[in-house]
Amino acid sequence: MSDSEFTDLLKPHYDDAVNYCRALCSGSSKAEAEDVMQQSLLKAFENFDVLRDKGSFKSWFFQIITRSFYNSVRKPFWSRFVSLNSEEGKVAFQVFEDELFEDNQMLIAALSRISKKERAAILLFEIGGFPIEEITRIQNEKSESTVKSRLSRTRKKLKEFMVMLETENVRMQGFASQRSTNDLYHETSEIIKEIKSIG
Amino acid sequence: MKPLKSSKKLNPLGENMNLPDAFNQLKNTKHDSSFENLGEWLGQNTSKPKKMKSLYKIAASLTLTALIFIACSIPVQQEEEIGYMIKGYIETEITVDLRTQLADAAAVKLTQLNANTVLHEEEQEIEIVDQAENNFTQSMAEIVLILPDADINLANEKKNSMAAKFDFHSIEVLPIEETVERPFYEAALHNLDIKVGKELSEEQVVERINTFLHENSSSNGRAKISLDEQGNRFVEIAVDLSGDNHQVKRTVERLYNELVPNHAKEMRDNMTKEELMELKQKEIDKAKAKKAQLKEN
Repeated sequence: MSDSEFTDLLKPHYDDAVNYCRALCSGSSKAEAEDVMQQSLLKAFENFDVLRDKGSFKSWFFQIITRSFYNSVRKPFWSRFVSLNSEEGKVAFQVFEDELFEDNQMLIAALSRISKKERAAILLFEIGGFPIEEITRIQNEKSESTVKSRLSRTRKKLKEFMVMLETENVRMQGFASQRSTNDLYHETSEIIKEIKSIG
Repeated sequence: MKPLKSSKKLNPLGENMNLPDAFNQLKNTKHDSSFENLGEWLGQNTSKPKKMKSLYKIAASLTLTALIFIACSIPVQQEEEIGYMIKGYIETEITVDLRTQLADAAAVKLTQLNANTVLHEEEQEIEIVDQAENNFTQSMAEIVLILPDADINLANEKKNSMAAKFDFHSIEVLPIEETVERPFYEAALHNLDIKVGKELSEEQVVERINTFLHENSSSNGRAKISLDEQGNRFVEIAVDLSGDNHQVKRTVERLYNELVPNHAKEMRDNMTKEELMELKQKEIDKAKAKKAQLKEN
């Protein structure tokens, strides 16, 4: 195996893999997501010889990402803060850009509220584009119906969360616009009244 | 995936809350810039060993095989038991009847049993000044039986049979060992009781038995290996009247023990005082060493 063979096979799936990994790590910091992605890349590269059927590279690589993510969730609390930083003299490698998914904050926030298995299932389906059968294999499930019901449940949950988040957002925006009267004294007294009424 | 029809209905605000659209937006994010560095980064961070060229692989395999072969062929020395000698002392005169009874007890042929009269000296402290007159020597029959095939159980059985029938002053089973040189792998297999390669020749075994016999007993006979009716090997000890090299090489000290009492006296009379003192000192040292060893045990 040559290094270029690995990158050649990875190239068509690279964007999907990175987006999958980042969305999978919703609710985690960017550094943690970076660790998961880097570990997956290294693991895949080191074990590339083991993969006999190069045609199944995509599902194999996504499975590695999924397992690395599960392991990162399970790993001890303190070790989550230790990331694979580039050493001096080595090439700096940053997978995620700072403003990644800025336009999709609502979905990311909703994804962070569901369980890791549900998250992996919906992302494998939506971003990875895998069929139910493949997702069943990647998630080590016994039957496809488990995955099907998981997907259905997850979609419902996501929608509910997104509606809830959007409602809250609109309410906060309305609340903020109502109060912006430039009269500090009046605004403060209004807030105090509201707090008292709640209390 | 088909777009969810209900997704917009669930959204009370009716804005951009379509789930598939949100996922599509997520999916279409590009990461070309990070992919450019990936190859180099992988090369620097991976611990994967580089593949060996096939030529080096063949050379390494050949070298390894040669090393293993050489290591297995290195000769090593191994102690091998080729038989056992039963040696005992009885406080009696040697008679044909005694030999016959002993041979019957041990279930061996008469020729296998070797008997010699020896002077056994009692262990006691003797002053060197009165060395010649204060010896307490006793005439004893030394019985020697050699079993050529290494079987400790058989040797012990024969020893016990003889000990049960006669009142032995002492009787013991001595292993006859021979140092053999074998390749390492043969020695290892031999330890596992798998016999490979050449065993000790008949001549080597006879030579070793004779050496052992002359070193550990007062017999001056020659051992000879014969086969019985069943094809089992046994050792006959033929008395060598002409005298052999071993006898010639014996020290004065050993001769002293082997001579008959009258001859011994004559011998002692002919020795100088210094020779006798030296001889006696040796005897005392030997006795002391034996006593110390017994105490240690």
